[in-house]
Amino acid sequence: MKAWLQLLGGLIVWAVHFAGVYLIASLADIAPPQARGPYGPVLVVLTLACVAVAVVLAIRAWRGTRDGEPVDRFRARLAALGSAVAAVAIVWQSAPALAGFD
Amino acid sequence: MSGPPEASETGFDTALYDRFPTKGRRPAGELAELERIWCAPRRWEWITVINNNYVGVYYVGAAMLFFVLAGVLALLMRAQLALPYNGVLPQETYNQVFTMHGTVMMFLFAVPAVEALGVLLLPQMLGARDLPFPRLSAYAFWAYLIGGLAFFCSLFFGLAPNGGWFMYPPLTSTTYSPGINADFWLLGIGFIEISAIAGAIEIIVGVLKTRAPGMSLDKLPIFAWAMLVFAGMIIIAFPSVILATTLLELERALGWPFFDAARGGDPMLWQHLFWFFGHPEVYIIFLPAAGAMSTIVPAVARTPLVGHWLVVLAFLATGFISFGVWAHHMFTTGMPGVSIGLFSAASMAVSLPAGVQVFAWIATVASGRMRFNTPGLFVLGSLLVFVMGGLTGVMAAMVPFDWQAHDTYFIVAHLHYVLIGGMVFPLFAAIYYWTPMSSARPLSERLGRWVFWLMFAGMHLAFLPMHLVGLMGMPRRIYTYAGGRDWEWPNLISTLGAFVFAAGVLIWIIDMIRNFRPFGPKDAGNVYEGGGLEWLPTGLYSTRSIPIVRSLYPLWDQKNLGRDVAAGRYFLPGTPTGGRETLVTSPINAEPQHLLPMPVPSGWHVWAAVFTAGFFLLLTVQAYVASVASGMLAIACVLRWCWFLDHPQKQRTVDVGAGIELSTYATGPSSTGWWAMVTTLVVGGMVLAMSVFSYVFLWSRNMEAWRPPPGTGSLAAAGAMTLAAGVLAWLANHRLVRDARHGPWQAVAMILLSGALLAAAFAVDLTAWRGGGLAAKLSAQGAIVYSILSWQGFFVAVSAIMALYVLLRGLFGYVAADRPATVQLVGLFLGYTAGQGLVGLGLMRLFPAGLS
Amino acid sequence: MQTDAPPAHDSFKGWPPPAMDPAGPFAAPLNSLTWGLLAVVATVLAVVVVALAIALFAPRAWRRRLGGERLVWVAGVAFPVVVLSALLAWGLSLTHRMSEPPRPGEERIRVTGEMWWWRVAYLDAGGAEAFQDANEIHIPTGRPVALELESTDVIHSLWIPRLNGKLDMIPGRRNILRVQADKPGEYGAQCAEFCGGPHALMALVVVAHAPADYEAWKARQAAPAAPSPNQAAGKAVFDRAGCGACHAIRGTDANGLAGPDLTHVGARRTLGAGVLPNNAGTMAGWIGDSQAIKPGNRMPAYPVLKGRELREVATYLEGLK
Repeated sequence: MKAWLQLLGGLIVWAVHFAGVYLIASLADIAPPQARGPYGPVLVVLTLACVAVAVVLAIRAWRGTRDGEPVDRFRARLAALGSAVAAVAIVWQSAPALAGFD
Repeated sequence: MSGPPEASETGFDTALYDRFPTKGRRPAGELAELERIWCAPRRWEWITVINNNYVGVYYVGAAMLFFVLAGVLALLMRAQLALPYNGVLPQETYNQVFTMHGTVMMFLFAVPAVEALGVLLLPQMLGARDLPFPRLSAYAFWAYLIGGLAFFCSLFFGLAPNGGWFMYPPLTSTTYSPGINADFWLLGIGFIEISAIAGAIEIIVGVLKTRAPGMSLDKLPIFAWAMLVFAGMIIIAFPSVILATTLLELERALGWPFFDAARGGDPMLWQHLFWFFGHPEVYIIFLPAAGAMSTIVPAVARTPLVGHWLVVLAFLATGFISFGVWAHHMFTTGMPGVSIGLFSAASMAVSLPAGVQVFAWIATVASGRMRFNTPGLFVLGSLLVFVMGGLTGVMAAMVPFDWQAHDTYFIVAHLHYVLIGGMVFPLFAAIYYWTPMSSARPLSERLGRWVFWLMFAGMHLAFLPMHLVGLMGMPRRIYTYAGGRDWEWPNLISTLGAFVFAAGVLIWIIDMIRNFRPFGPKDAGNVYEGGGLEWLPTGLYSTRSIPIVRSLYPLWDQKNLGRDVAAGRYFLPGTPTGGRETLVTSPINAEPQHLLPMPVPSGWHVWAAVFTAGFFLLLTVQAYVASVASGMLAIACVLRWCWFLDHPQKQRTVDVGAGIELSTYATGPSSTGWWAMVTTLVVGGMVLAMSVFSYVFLWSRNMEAWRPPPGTGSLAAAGAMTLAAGVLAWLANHRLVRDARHGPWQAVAMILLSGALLAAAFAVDLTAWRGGGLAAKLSAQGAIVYSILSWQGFFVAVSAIMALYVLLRGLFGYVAADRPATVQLVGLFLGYTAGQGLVGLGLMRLFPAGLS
Repeated sequence: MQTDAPPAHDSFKGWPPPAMDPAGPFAAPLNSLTWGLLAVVATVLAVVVVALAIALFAPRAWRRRLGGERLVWVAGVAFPVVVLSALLAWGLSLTHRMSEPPRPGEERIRVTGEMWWWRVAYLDAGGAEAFQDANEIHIPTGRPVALELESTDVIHSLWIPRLNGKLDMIPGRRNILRVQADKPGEYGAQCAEFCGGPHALMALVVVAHAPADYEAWKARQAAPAAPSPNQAAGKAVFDRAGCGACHAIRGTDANGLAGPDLTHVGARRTLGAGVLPNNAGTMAGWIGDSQAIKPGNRMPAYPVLKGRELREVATYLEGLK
């Protein structure tokens, strides 16, 4: 289980961020205009946190690509690049909300 | 080697691998015994056969039959559209034909075809003797075949669905689609999803648990990676369409207003639920074909795949990110800008993995010596066509462009380029490449070239003009158009192209008739010189012995592998238990864990498929009594089939080769049954998750009209009983394995009590809601509340059946501390049902009521 | 229907492609985006084709350069990330600009999708319906108009490619499509969401007038029907056949709401929602047997009306300008 979580950690963070942005955008859509305040900052925090986690996971996995059996190095490379791709996708999908669309 | 090896995944000592290949001759009669137990079917056994070598061929054959049938429908459509105001098909017929073309292609051809490839290829490719649940895949095949043929025949009665393959309400509600046409889609396709999910369970467990020893994840063939992600995506995506079709059928049959705006429903709910399935669906279709590409390109170019790990990552990334793009099919529905932007961004992200694969293939071609044989032509053609389709997809992901292109022939062009380039051409490459594995003769290279060039030229002729005519204003799904709009020439050329493409398919059919000779004693061999295990010498038992894998391309790198395998010098050279069996290995390092005894054919799974199909089809034509009877027979057949399970072998451990002893009975997370049950419960959980989404969505559309829930008394009672049921379910297995004397009857009692508590909690909850005056037909809240309750009720009913089954097993003495599998798996199901019940209670009683 | 019959209206012509022939400030940036995307796509396709050709046919030294992971990183990861980021930025900013809500005081026209025609209601400053029309939308040039899109039955979609992208008409929701025409003219539109039956034959013409002409047109439209006196015979046929049960003609006792408003039907460019050009002959043909022309549409055929009666009612309706 732990091995799979390590392998897919970055992509799972992507999923969490996506779900969060979708939820926040949906809530903002149905909230009355005066209550829309907190959503922007919440989104910024969520994005920064997810990007940070993805980057950390990528770096940690990258460090692990030098030791262990071939299968462990293979898994580490997948984890590292998966987290990097996730970070790019997180940045892209936060752009509309951070740019203040409504 | 000195000292113990690094900490292994399971504690298996990998130094034992050094005992292989074994020396000396195998005992006399060992091979004959293997051949006897894996013998070929005779007469009726051709229907009850469960060996993947047969079921896989049947499966691919059925999928290609539907391809041809749906293709004929396309020719009819193109004939109608060749000229303005043409009279080939009247309006209603055309609307049924185009709906069926899309539906049959997507549900009865595309997904089954790639699933069939998995059934046929994976066991051999992984070094297993068969799939882990052979009767399940056979059941899935027969249900699909019967259901699919019956569904297709609706056309001949003028009863085919006519609302488009995505069946948007309100057009598909009873008001605007009064006949049973839509029900054919909802019930017919709805149950074919069961088939796909069964296949997905099989593939996940097969790829993770039944590999050849030593085939660690870095040596897992790329096609197996693709199939693993494919199957995982099915598990997550298909429940959404199952929920959507159930809700629409409830609306049609009982009047529950999920999508009816007048009573608080919303047509957009369908679109969200459908596309949450629908977009991953196209990647579900693409990934196995991409896996085939990544297998065939290296084989034909005679060099390993460049960037193998990058391609694996591309599959994983696609598997995740494709779930975040569904609303790019909804850019014109008026969603708020933030949401639209989110989906546009994710749609950009999902194209990255595709680009990685394309350049991995080009790099592989560059590093090898490409041959222009038929598989080679098809993979090159596929690359080009798929890139074109992918690029128009990036265009469509740009929202403002999509506002012009959506629902026009531009999108028709895009989707055919990606599907034909990304799936059909790779499938034909796969057919030409792998036929020699199953057939005594390979297909013809000469005819193959004709097939390719006709399909390639026809494809461009047919679909390239559509990009333009879409921007010239031609929308999708129109049965005719007026002259003088300058649409005539593009349409005529498209029609011509369609017939050229069809000529290519016809020649392929001729090639198959002339050369495809399956089920014989010999096969044509490794004609295209691939490097995977599927090219080892095989019989109906797959390989004579299960090899140790030390490379990603074992046939290229491991000398004399074929000779040693055929001589029985590796694992399982015979049949130590006297029956069919294969090895179960660990998911990451493929270390041997236990022996998996496998079933021999019997008729129960076929009858179960017949009666399952009967249940749904009879329901469609509103023959309710017959339908219920068929359903009960299906349940009976399934239970009888299950009765064969969980009977430990006489020998608790056996020698699987070179003196290595493995157990013959397993429970818990290392067992295949446990994984199958957990995967099934994930399916249930996804339906629940989508129901939660639907509930919150409908609430957001009806916030002022939302009625408060029933009182907390019933909440407390139902909650307590449900919690107790869950605890009992866990406790049952716990007691069973710890106390050999009292454990069994205690476990049975706890299971029964758990089931009873679930039923009681359900009754309390249902009574409370009905007592509170909420009616399902009158409001969206009523509809969604009662549908979530119905889902729970369904699980409670199944739990009751399972609990009674455990009782029966107990009475026969089949429940014991050393054979806890049945109780364990039933306990998982009951535990899940309890958890689902608590989620439902929490959601409907506490949201939004608990917030204020 | 004859296959060589002309289209119902000139504005339905497919060349130049309407989606790339913008006539206003909402469609123009879409067209620029389309051309930009085509350029990017063509370039990328060329790169892929060249790379594949090198991989297949070039001398060994060239192929060796492409034959490693570096190609995948550069061409498959780095390059797409850069290009897609740029495209995303462009697309998002354009989406944001195009999604501005209507400004106060903008002309509001409520267009309701029906199976298989368009109900068009012109709203006054307070948002109430000033008068109703059908199957044609008139707008002033030079300023944005807010089309409020609704539906009472199934999902439809209004697409006026020369003026903007399309937007769906969804029961229970109201979507607002802003359009603006720079110059007076006629712009074809089509239903772009499958709505069953004769969805293929659900279209309309958008007519843009110079502002002064627009006000005059609105005044004429708001006025009730004023047929000339010698149309009495036709009016009598209209009444006898019960047409007023479904159709409204303001200024008479015909007040049905199920079908298109006919108060000024004679002035429309097309009949049957963009299916036929509008003249006495096609009017008679439509009334006599609209099912043959647009199968499945909600208006029954009237075989009982023949010859003189049919001509009279057609002439009467044509006179309602």
